[in-house]
Amino acid sequence: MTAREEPERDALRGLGRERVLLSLPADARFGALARMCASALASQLGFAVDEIEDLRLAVDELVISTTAGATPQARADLEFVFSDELLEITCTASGVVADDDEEEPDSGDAGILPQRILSERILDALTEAHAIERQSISTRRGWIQVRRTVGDRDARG
Amino acid sequence: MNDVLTVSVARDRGVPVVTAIGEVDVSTAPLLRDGLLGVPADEPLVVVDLSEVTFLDSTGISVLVAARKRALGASVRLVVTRPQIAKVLEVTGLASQFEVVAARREALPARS
Repeated sequence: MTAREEPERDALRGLGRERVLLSLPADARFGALARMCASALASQLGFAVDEIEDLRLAVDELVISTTAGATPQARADLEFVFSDELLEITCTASGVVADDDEEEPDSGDAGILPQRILSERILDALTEAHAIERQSISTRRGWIQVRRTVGDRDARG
Repeated sequence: MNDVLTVSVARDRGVPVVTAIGEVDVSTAPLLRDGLLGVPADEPLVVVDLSEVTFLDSTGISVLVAARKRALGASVRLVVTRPQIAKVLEVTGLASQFEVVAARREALPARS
């Protein structure tokens, strides 16, 4: 579920860029807060309106994918790191105990394309790169990178 | 936190119309699912009006796909006016599974 080499992603870290941290209960009701935070940040960074809409959806899918199988005590910690053109968002979910094979949400019908695949298709389309990985039996980490269009920034002067 | 989606079911020109207003995400998708389950399975045509839906994620898409499967041979027409909602259907490769129209009047049979 990755579209970019790991070393290139790691090169974005540790360069003194601004960080924004958001810690939430890993509860579906709080997903809107992650979207709001992402859109507010992107707006300040000069993302275009349609890019912000894409980002909201990408962050939503990131949180859904990372927190699948969350227990009531689970947390989702989001980190936003941005440079001029690239916004990287990492979501670390602790207290997710389901095995990967058990994570599929009930779609209400057999034979329907798994939601995980739908989510992956959305992230494929809307992000520069993305990945979801299990770090331990109870922790999962996902990240996305979203690029701001250069022309849009220049247009803002 | 309050739900940010309202779902209603009504008939227009004899056709069941499920209207959603707000954001469809993992938290609110069950409301849309419940609305769709309120439509009898043997209806030949079901219209789902998403023109006032401002956000739709993969959980919402899953609910729509489940409704289409439940409808068996019936038509499920989606009213989609916002580009972002159309884009979600497109990138998931599911736009072709529905009849997508740009206005409710296009989704309903002509008045006799």
